[in-house]
Amino acid sequence: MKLRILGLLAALLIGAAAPAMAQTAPRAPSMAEEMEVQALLRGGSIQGRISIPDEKAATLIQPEGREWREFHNVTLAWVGGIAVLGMLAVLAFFRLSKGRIPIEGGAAGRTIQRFNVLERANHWMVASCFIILPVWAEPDLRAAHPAAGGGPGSLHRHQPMGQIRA
Amino acid sequence: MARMKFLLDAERCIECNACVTACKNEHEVPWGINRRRVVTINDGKPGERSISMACMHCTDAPCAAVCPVSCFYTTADAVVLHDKDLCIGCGYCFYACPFGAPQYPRLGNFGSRGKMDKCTFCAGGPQADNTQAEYIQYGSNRLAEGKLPLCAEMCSTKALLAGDGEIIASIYRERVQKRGYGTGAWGWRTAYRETVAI
Repeated sequence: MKLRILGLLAALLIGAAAPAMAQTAPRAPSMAEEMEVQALLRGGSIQGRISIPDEKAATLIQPEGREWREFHNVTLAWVGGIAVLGMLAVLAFFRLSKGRIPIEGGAAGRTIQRFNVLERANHWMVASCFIILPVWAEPDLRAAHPAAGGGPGSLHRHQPMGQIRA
Repeated sequence: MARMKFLLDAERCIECNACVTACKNEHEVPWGINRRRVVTINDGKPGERSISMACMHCTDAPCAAVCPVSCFYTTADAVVLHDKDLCIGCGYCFYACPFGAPQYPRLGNFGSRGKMDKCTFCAGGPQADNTQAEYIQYGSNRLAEGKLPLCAEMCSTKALLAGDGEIIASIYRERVQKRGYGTGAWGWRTAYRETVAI
């Protein structure tokens, strides 16, 4: 009897609470929203189960990429820029403060061979290839993609050697 | 022009994987590669939800921001596409993407990554619309035919909605108001910096 009364009371309470919850639930932050915000704050990801063999695909949302993008596009650009331009500035400062530093007593007039003909020929062949390849490949890329044009990245688009004028 | 978006109503998704299958078939996606996938969170526990996820075609897309050869572009419909002839397969977009959308189906020279492949919102690529060249590289271009992405069209419970963001958000809003609950639009906060206001 006691149990029945308790059960009835519980049912009444739940019944009274249910409509109120139904009204407030949509306004409260949703599960998706909340999980995304939490994952972002903790730097964690939303993981699940997946039926395809690629287990990595079970990660639904991962916020780490945001930090990587910030590092790659902002931090690295600044650090790289400062490293290159800063070194130039340091060298310029050194040159200006110390001036030319000549060999004590002047050059002796004797020379020694550092690289032979074969080594020098190899060096210059590679050097000219570095210039010729991008210059040669560029019109082909342009022809294939008039919209793409040249752009700063074009020098880095290496083509396999056999396919340049294929 | 419309701002195209995906919206997954997790209350309706039954994890049938029809979206995955439809996508693979429509675009002839190679073995082992899925442009779209269904992830189940809280599997076997109360609050279990299945979410179909692909490229969300983000506002201020992270992939485009980190690409060293600027191969990404956004169409007038705000669909994020990329040019596979410019892509060098560096994988930066994969590091940056919060949804794991970029895939690398082919190997490049010396075992490197090949060209990146991802969901195109059934909008093809930079080649001329509905040509064989476009189909081989990017799959079919349904948007150019006046159709919407096949994954959403095939969804039997209409859990996955694709189309104009305003329209799909209003459909979702109507559903939530009618049934009195909803778990929200998955990935919207991350991709579009907004949520569906109910």
